[in-house]
Amino acid sequence: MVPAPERILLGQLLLHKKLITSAQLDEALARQFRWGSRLGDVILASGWVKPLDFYRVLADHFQLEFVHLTEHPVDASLFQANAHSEYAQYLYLPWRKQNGVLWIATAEPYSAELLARFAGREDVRFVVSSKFDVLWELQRVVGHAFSQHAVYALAKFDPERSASIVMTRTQKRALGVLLVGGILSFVFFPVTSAIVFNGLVNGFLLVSFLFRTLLCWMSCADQVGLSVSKEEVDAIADADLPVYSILVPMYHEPRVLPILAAALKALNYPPSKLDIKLVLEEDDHETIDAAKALALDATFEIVRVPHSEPRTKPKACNYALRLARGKYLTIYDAEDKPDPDQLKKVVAAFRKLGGNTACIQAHLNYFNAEENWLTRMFTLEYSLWFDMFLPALDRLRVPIPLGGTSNHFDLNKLRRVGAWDPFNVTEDADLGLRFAARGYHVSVVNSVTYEEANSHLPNWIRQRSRWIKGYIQTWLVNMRHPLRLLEQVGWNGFLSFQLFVGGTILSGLIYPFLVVPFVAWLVTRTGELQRFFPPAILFVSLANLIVGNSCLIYLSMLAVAKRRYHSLLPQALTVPGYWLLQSIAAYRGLWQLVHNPFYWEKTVHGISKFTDAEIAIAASKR
Amino acid sequence: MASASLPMQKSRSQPRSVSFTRGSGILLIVAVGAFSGTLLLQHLASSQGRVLGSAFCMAVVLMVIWFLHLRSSGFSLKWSACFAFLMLGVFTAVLVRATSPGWMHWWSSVGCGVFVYVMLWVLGMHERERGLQPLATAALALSLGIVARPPVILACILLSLVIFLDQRREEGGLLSSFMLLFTPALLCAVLLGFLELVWPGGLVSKVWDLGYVGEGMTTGTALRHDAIVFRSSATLALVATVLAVRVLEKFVGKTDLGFVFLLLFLVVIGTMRSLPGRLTIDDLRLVLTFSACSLLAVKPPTRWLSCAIVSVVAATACLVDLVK
Repeated sequence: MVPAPERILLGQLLLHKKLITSAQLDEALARQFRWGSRLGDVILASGWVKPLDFYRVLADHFQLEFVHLTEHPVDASLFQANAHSEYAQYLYLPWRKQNGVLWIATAEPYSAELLARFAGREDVRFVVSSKFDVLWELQRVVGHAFSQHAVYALAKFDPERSASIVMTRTQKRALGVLLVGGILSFVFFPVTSAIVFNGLVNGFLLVSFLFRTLLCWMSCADQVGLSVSKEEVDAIADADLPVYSILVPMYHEPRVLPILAAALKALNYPPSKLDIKLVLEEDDHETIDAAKALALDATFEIVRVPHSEPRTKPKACNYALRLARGKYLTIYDAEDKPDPDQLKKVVAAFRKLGGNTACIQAHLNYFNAEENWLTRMFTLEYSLWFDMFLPALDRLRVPIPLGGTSNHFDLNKLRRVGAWDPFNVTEDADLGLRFAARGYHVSVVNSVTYEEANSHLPNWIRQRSRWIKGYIQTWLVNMRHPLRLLEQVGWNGFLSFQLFVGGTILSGLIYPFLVVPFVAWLVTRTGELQRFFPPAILFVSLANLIVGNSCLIYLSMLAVAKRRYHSLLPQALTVPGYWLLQSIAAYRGLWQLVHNPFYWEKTVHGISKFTDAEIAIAASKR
Repeated sequence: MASASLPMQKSRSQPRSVSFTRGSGILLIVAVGAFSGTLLLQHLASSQGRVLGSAFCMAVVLMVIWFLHLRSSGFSLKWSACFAFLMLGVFTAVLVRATSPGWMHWWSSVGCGVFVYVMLWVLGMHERERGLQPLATAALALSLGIVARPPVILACILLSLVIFLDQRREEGGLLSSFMLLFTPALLCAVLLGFLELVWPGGLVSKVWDLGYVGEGMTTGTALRHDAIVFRSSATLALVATVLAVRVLEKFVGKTDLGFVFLLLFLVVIGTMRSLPGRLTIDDLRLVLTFSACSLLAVKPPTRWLSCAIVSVVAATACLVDLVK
């Protein structure tokens, strides 16, 4: 056990060793009182002492030996397979076993959980090591097991919800029957088949468009979705805040690291309660080196993800999840700039909503909206998606396909549903559906994270094709057992899933089939096409074309008006051109789903002309 | 009179329910069925049966939608059902008594009524909240103006201009406000104009039915007061009662002013012979009926007596129209 002799206070010890000044100690004590954290965590988070120096002093404070684990590595044979998560959670490792005594290396010798874990064990002794050494050694020894777990856990735990199999045998048979039946009917009854096809597609699109209009209309109200006021944020005492984990998966993105670091440091949350993990691939040396060069304070940790397939963001997040220590967890992309109050708003929101809430999504928007036509279109689209559609879906209490970042999870519930699907390339949307199917609530909070909009067309096409591929994966996974899904999410949830997720896929794929015949008719004025459009279907098609297109353009306008981006209003008139690009991406995504379903099309960040300015701002804040 | 059973069951502070209940679903299915019935009857039934059947089916559609709207506005189930059934009678009577019954003619007249209903409801919404929702509703409604006649569209455009441009000017400038208010309508107009150009006699002509005149509101340039008052007396009484109830309940506001403006504008513009698709007396009766419904739904009366008076007048209007 940890001995409890007369100890010199940690602060005094640090002062005595001239690692901090007395002013810093006073400030640390004040922060300790305010934040409700341990003094050591406060001092480390404040960045006044190098972590290695701090842990040496901590060892002195407890009159324990300090061990440098990189020089004196742990004995891997002492690791217990069922205790890996505990090692990460409480920052300890079995280090050596000598003469019947088990030596435990820990970064938190004062932890109540650790003391309780080994209470009454006379054969256990402790040594102190740095938090970073503990995590490094843990990953060195069990990194491969973590990686395997990250890849295969969901497929084993809940195979029906894993996209590791793109289509089940039943789905393949159903598709085969549909294709053969469709081809045969088109061969033998071309006109009737075309009429039925037109009717079904146009009917579905009309309902889908009406549903989106309804969502938008609902969101135009002053009060829609979850709202946390400034007063509510201010009312939360820092001492009552829980530890918050932040995962930042990155790959070859050294350039934008300073922006992210500045944004995270600007968060209005006690740094001693932040558990920030930069999740990097172990072969991504340039980003690892850039992260080290930034000399970030001790709240930042670098997690090196071992190489394994599929190399996807959800797999990296699953890996890092094993090391997360917070009550809540969120994900930010490398170039994200979250609203400083976001974490506190989310804590308030979780408290407001009660125990069944598993995730809270923040709004996303772009800081480089005005860069070019593509970024303007992207901003219109994101404003529509995050400011209009998602809050209304939340209000209707139907499944919400989560956005890629700034989704805040209750960590226990996230683990309970099996975390992210590493084989799904829109793992966020899939997770939203999985939460709904398990009866958990997902909500949207009034806080914004600004990202970098894709400003280069090829990069945009790559990103969008991945999204649509992921949506198809999500649709296929959830439609393996339609009746079960219906039972789990109810009629409202089922229909909204079909209209929202299915509608997004179908509208992307079908758009050329709607435009081409119309243009052909305009150019040739042929009467041949009239055979395929009896009056009722013609009326619905024209309603889609005229009212549908006009309204969808208008919905984009409403979205930017709500965000007060009035300069973008006229840009909405060019949205039909953007839909054409979506169609190109949709077919690319479909093609990839067949040939390379788990391939993660990397979106390159840091290519905006606004990035230099953002980096300069970030540098000025350091 | 003490309010023993208040029509308003829900508290005003309660958020309005948007849940799609099973009951609402069944009612909507009924509405779709009735609409299909209207279409089918055009082909199946004999002339007289067709008129009555079609009118009834269309009135059922309107009744269901209005009932759902009343419920979402906070009316109790009892009074919502009562008003809905009374209006079923009123609508059937008005449609049956229309001088030129027929699917397309009704479509235009009912379109005028629905359009005015929505605009008055938007006005009511605008009185309650200043957000984007009333403006969006007005803009989307204006884009559906194709189903109404030009005088009604014109009146509603003017009304929207007065209300919204003034409010939004401070926020995003006049151009932004103009775009937010008129983009859907302009886009629809441009696309329809284009379609009419490449497909003459197509959609626009069919829906608007410009050739149809019906029983006009004027003789020469003189307004047919007698015809208007005689043919619309029951409906006018209903509207007057609803307005009186609103005065008694101290609900009078911009919505009522907007309604008066609309009515005066329509009567005045009804005299203009040069305007295409001019208003008929039947259109005016439907506009009045829908206006009464809208004013009731905008802010339901809180007193039992008010509801009872409106019910009695609605029942009388229904009977008078059927007997006449």
